[in-house]
Amino acid sequence: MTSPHFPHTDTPSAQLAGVSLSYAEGASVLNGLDWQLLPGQVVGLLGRNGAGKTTLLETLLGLREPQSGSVKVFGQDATRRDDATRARIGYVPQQNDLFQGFTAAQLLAYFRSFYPRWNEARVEGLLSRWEIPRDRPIRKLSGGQQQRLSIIRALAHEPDLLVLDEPVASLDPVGRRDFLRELVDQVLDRGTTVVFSTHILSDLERVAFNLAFLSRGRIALQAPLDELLEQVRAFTGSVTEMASLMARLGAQPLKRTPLEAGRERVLARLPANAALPAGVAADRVNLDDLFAELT
Amino acid sequence: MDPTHFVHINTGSPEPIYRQLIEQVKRRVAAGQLKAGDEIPSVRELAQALAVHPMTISKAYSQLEADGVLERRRGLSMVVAAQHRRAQPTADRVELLRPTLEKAAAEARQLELSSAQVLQLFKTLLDEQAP
Amino acid sequence: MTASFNQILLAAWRQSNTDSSRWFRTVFYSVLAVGLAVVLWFIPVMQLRIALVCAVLVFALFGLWVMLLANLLEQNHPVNARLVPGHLRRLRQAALVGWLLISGTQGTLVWLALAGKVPLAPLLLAAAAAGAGVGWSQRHWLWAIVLYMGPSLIVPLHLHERLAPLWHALVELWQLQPWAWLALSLAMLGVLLMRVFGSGDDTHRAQHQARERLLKAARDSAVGNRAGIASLGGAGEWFAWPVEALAARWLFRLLARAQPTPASVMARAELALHGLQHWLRHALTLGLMLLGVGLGGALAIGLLSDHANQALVAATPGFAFTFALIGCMPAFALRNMLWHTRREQALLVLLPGMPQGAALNRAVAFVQLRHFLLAWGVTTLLLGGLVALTDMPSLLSLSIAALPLGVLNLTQSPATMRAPTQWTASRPVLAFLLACAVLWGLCAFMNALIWPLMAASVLLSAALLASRWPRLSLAPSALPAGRLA
Repeated sequence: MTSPHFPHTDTPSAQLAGVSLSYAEGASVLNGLDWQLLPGQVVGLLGRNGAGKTTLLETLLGLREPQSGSVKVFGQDATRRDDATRARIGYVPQQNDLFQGFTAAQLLAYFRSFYPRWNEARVEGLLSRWEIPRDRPIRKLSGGQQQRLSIIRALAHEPDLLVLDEPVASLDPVGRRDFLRELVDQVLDRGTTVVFSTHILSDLERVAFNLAFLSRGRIALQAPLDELLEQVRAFTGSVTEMASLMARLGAQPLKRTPLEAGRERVLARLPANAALPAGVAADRVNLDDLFAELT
Repeated sequence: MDPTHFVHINTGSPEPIYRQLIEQVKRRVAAGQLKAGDEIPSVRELAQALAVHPMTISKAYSQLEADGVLERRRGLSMVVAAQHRRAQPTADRVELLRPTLEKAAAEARQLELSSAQVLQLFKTLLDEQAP
Repeated sequence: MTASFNQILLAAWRQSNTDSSRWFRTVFYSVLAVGLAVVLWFIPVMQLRIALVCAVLVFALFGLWVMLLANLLEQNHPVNARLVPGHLRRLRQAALVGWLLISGTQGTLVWLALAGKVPLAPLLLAAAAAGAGVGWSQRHWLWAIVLYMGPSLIVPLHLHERLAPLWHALVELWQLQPWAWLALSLAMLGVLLMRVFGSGDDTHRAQHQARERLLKAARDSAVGNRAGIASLGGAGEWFAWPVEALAARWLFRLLARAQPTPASVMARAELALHGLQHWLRHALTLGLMLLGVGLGGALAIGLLSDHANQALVAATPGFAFTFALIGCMPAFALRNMLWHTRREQALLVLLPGMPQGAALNRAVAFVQLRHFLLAWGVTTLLLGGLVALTDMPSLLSLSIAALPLGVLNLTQSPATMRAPTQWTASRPVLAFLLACAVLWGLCAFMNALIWPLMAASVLLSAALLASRWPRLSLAPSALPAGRLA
């Protein structure tokens, strides 16, 4: 779904095709993965711990090179980017890489000198609102403050693609709510493409419009969250019953879990506006269930 | 109208956020809390206040407009549509309770309870809450 | 454009400021300047004065270059290289400009010092090459070894004779067009220098991580938390393999024979308390060092047969000093290790069988003193052997100085210790060095003094121990260390 801000753009912000990556020890992390991000999308990347979310995001940013496949951001190959494209990308890593000896003010001045666009008003506003001391060395700030500073640094140069890797892990609920509001601002004002991975599903439900599920090295499913909540149902019955039911409803099975005595539980996605016939037991699912089943 | 308290979002429920918005606005209009001509927060305000994707708000508003609950004014914020001058008649309001009661009925069937038992419980609860 | 350039240099300046205290550095440099002025006063010949000033400046510039490059490399984070526009380019530019300016100045200074007797161009080339070599050794510490030891192999391997014709040919070629050759060489060296900065790919990331680990180990060891050779990365781990293997064996042996007696419990606790300073590792390190020196000595005798004896005698003080320092390191290191393992201590004191209160104080002090005294004994014996071989009794002053200092250090109550900083961690070592210097001077003055001094040291240590031991029992419980600071 394209954003109202870029209704005419179909060229993806980012595109990964056939990406495969293995660690040095031989463990395969990404397995012929295809993924596309359209401008203005806010995508939540869901996956279990160790599934490779961070690796995927790093590959997207060009910080890791896959063994095969292509990674393009704004039409350019991820490892051969020019400066103009670099200025359009913002990144908040899971573990911040801020210079510990600098103060917040010095750090922001340092990065400001490299970026053509820099929203000083927003930086000042966030520093005040989040009460981050400007003149104390960063190593003396708490973990939450450092993470907030990392977020400010990424938002300051008004990127068109914002990549966030568990950005709110060390923030309290108020901090998370503030952060989400900032994110909403980015989306409203600039139509930024946002992709973020987090375990805090309630945050994801609010802000992410699309979800991508990473499972076994591939994007198992990418769909708007609302559609998933409305169309995915859990059906229970014997194997044969399920087969005929799926055919009748034209449903797309997403996951089958065998139960005892030849029965199974099928998680399936009904076509849009499908009506459930009477007498068919179908449970609705929430995001926690989707996460547990699809990742 | 304070956007933060306009609606209440319940994360973790199987109901998408936009649908929760739609249902809540409809209920408030039906109960007369929102009357014809009342301004409602803009997409931007509400998205900011609730920290929700603006497209979600926009989708809810569009649906409410299609259902005739809200009206779009040119250049101004959206308002409650003209025909909701006063609270809806009781019959229509009762219909709004249908989804919740359907769920309760389904659960009662699963528990294999008789109608008499269920109605008894419902009456007790209603009497408790009545001021 | 210049803003980002300034920011990079500013960052380098800032980072160098935080690593060591400003007070210490101003004192150091003022002392140096005053000392230099004094020395200059005493030199009559103008040319010599110029030469001395130039030499000092050259070294100072060298230090500046090393610092600048180290700080630029620290800014060369793989994420920044990939994501921040123009970051890598600016770092490379800053390095190039710094390199050209510093090596240019160095070359000119050396030329001035030699009063123009050597032409300028080759001096500039030499300075530039040295600068680039430093650059590469920052990236891989193995290069440092190659560059440092390489030239010293020229004479023993008679390379200067074998390569002489090639050298003469090169010199002739150079003299045809020295400045053109200089420009070309600078261009090539410049390209090499730029390669020192990584562009964010996998190799860069691995190197950056290894470098961060190294820096962290260096910072830790400055406050007494020595990490051992293994933290140096792949090559270091390879060197440390026998020590690690044997240490693991000892651990399993202790665990297999675990008893609830205090002796057994303390033996196991020692592994946690002393960490990488554990007596077994210490002993193995000393052993490996002796082995290495022995092999090196044999190699030296083989290569320099005619000068062997002289060289060995000349090297003995240095070797003895290093050996004594490492051998007596427990005196200084064990106390610091108590601070660095205080979180493990919080768990240790809860274990069944662990002594408590005054018994714990005595047990901890006993374990540390035992380690130190045994190490001291071995060190003294070895020094004695060296004295017998080379007839330099002043060598023993090292162990004379160490004994009372060690006893003093290890009988302080750990509960009230403070976080060691670079200064407080090096204070005991500085005291040791001072005492060594004084005693060495005394012994060199009169050889016979060595025996009374040794006796005095032993008596002093015994007295210290006797007076401080009862006080230890009354002090608050030793572990976790530092909780009452």
